[in-house]
Amino acid sequence: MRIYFSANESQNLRSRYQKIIDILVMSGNSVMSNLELDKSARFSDTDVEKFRAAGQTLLEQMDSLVIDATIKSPENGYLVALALTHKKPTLFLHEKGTDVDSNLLSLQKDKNTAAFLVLQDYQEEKLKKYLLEFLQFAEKKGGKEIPKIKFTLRITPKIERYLHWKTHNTKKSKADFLRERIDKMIEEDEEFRRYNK
Amino acid sequence: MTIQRKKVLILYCGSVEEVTESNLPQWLQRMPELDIIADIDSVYVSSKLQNNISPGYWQNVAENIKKNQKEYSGFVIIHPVETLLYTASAVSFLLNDLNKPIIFTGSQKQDTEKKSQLSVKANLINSVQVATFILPEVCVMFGNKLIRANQAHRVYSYSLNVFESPDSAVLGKIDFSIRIFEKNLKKVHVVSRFESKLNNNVEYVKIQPVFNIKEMSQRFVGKAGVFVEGQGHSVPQDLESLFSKLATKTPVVLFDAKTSGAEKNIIYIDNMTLESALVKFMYVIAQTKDLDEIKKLMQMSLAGEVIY
Repeated sequence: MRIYFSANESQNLRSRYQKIIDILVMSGNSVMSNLELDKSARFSDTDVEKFRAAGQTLLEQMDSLVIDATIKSPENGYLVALALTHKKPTLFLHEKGTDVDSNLLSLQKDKNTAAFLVLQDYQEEKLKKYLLEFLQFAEKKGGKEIPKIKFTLRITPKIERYLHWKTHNTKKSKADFLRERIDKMIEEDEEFRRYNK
Repeated sequence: MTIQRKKVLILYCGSVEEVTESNLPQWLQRMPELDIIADIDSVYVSSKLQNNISPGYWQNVAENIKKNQKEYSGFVIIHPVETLLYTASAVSFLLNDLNKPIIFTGSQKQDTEKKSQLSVKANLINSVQVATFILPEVCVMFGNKLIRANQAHRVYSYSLNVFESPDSAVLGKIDFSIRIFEKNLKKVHVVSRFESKLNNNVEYVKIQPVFNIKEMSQRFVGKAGVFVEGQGHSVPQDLESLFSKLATKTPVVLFDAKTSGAEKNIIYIDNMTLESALVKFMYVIAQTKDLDEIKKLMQMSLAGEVIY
């Protein structure tokens, strides 16, 4: 999944923000952020221009949004509003003991927005748990079960011959065959399952 | 820490088929996301397209904003795309001393109803966010661009950016958030010495290949001003002479025409959009009858409309 992480710049919370990004990246996601932190990426200039020409915002290119609103900013509300408009699963984190805008709380009761919004107060030691729970939630909401991510895979002639031989005279495409094998690997990977607990 | 919530007034002037005077509040309530950005109130102005292109209608929109200026931080106007630039340009002149954000937006026509609804919602959210900023500008917000309204022109493409402008009039872009380009903004705290009114007693002429000078001169009788749209064409010398003669008594604007440029009475304009030039002319002739003063005002920037 492509996740946008947003937070208000703060030296005190910088290591915590980095931890959030680390967890998201370690779970197999690519992360973009308004902060300059390790492991978070940015769109290339070419991509940015392409989206601008089409009148699209970069947020539309993301699968979900994670905000740490421990330090309040008017920008947080705007990002949540825009993400929900585009039906992007959104995790709104704030440290235990800090307030949340009452209008955000009402969004959790609204039938149009509640399905995509998770408001979560947290203590640092439980961050990983909340983030992993959100990833599972986002994968379902974002319809990740439907293959929609396209990438180019270069293979050797030997692999190509094998895939052809394996799928020849079956109703299965080479891509389906590979997807099924990878799904099976995920199911059997205990280490990955343990990490996601 | 608490953050002071801003108040934004949404004026509905049409653009979304399903919205009526009675269901406007309910329609806005279907976008609960708006409430987390600001406290929202709404006013139904009108959705009748035929009214959107009349000076009375533009003044109505401006008056609605002016009478609420103290109560709200900013204003968002939902408006049909076709006539939006006239209303927005008029408001930029009529309220050029307001010093608050006034954002025009609406719905782009799209292939599917779903996409259209999504775009108006995203445009509205972006507009409300901008209306909470300190931004003394009248702008249009469509797609991912915030543009000074009186320098915007319509583009016809599949893109959600239905308006474009010179780079210097792009006031902001949307990516993950809204980036405002401070260097392109007008100065804050403009103090206008003008009255907030328009004179619509203007004869509008388009240069055509065939014309009858005698018939044309009849149309100018009793008019407070004549606005000639050249559409980039050459103006025949006898017609330019007619305009020049007329311009000794009545102000004449010759917009976007290939001319000698030598007739000193005529006001030649080619450094602003058609909508801005026409509305500005109506605004200027409502302020003064002095021909030299009118010429001077037409050639200077009154609301950031001049494209350098």
